[in-house]
Amino acid sequence: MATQNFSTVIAHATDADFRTWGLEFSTALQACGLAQTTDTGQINWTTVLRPTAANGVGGYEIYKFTDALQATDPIFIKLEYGTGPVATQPGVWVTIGTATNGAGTLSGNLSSRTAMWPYDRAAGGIRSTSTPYQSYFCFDGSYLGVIHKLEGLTAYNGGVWPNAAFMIGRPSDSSGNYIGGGYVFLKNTAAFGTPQNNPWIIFCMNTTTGVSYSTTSYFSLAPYSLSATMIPSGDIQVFPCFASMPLITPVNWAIYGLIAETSQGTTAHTAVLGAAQDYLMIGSGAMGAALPNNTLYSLLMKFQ
Amino acid sequence: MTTAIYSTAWSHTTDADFRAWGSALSAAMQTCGLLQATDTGQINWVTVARPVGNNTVAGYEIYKFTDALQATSPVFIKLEYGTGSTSTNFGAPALWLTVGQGSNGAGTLTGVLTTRVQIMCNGTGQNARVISNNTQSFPTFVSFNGSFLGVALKIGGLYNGYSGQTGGSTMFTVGRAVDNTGAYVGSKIMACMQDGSNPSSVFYDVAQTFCVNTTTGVLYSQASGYFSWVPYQMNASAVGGAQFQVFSTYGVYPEVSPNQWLLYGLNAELPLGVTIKATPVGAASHTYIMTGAASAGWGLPSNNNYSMLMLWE
Repeated sequence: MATQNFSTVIAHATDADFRTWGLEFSTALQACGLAQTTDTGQINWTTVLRPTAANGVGGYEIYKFTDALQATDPIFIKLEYGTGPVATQPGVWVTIGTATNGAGTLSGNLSSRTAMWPYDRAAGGIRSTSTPYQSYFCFDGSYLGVIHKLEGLTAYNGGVWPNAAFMIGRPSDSSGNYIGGGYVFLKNTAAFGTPQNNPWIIFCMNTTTGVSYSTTSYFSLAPYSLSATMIPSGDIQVFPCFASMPLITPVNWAIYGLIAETSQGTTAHTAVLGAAQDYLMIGSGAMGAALPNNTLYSLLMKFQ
Repeated sequence: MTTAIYSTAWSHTTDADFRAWGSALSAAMQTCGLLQATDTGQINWVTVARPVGNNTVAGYEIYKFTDALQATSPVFIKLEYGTGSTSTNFGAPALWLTVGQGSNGAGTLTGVLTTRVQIMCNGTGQNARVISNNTQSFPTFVSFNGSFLGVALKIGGLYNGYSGQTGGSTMFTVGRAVDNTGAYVGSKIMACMQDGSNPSSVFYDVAQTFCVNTTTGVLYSQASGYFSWVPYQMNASAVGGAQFQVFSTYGVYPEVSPNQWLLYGLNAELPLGVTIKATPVGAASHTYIMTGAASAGWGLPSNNNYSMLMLWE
């Protein structure tokens, strides 16, 4: 179990820019303990060139979980790095599977290849190449959480977004123990509409049946649309996020809460299933991810 | 703990019609053990006349809970009977519901009161709901255990001429909050009800909910369906076989906590009137009955795929 927490600048105008942010991303993943596979053809951060065309891929990395379940229920993650919707924007794509051919091609109950940038970021882009932006990475062997360059990008409507925001993890039993048989991918969606108010998509793959389930927003709900702190003692209230495998069960690595109660970048200690854990409030990076879909709420990701 | 089911036809065009459906509901609640208070001025089902005007009350009844908590944390319920709209067909019966913690002995509730809500037949124009069939029998479910009252009245017994749909008629539940073992606690009361004041031509509506914390004197209410939800908006059985999934409803006091006596489920998995066992809180399972059209769309998603299951034991 490890976390990475750093604040650095980002740019994507030169080969050096690309190598800087990409290597930083890759290093953070590995510093958290995520294991890179031995697939051939993986990106070389010393020599890779920045793709000059929109949506161009510079290279990929293949990672895998490191828990005991990996032996029987493997999870592999393909990360592609390159250029986003316009030439000066970073691009990250995520694909999840249960096997690799050893040369960078995943197989077995695949997720769709998903770009991490918000849809309308093309009209905005990196907010500043001189301002440091916060990143949070967490990996515990069975769960990976990534918030890269929180508030580092903007959109035409004034919303600010992370460069990449996603979580991948196993479901849990009622005691909070991770179980095999599937994976859950929680991710930012194409951003449109009002600034900073962006529903997320959850994708649940049952690797036993090969059937997947997904929904937008309808994976967590704050009852009564509480709009402010209501508990006089100062206690907070947070609410579970659910996977569908298709049995509806809480995931142990993401919760939904009020930003007014847990401010961006701070942690809450709570028990969803089994033992209490630390969760980090993503704040603006996941506003309105679930229900209610508004700027009062955001996701908290496991951060320990 | 007791339940009652009766299935009869109904109408609301004469005094006799009014007395028939009103007294049947009243009798069923008392049969289940709900205790009528001694307030003066309560409705006389032998002599009461059907009101002829829009949204007019003919009379009321005052009830109270019977559990041990009633001594220190009383729950009183005022149910008013009358006429909704003056729309045609076979009339528009109406009910109004208020919940408090005491009574002045003459029909006025006291304490922290829920808003008086018309829970049946207030629509006019294209939203008007009426009885369209006075020969067909419609089921009524009543459940009372001392700490919880649930009524689903004449399920499917109303009609909307604009949409051509049948559904309703009304449902209301009043109960105490529970602790994390499932034991009822005092000072926290929740009422969920059909909001007949804003019905639509289609037969699914979010519920009007009120949560009262009598210790702080604060009332929380909302009418957005945000007291229960079905993740993933499943609209058909997802788990297969004979399995089903049901989901909690929540009160806010302001701590959000699950109810023991009301669940949200899929009509495709659980037909009207079927009973199931579930364990929403604590270790003990309880029996619940699917109320179908009586509570379609009360939570989220708000549509005909979903209805409430109320405690049935």
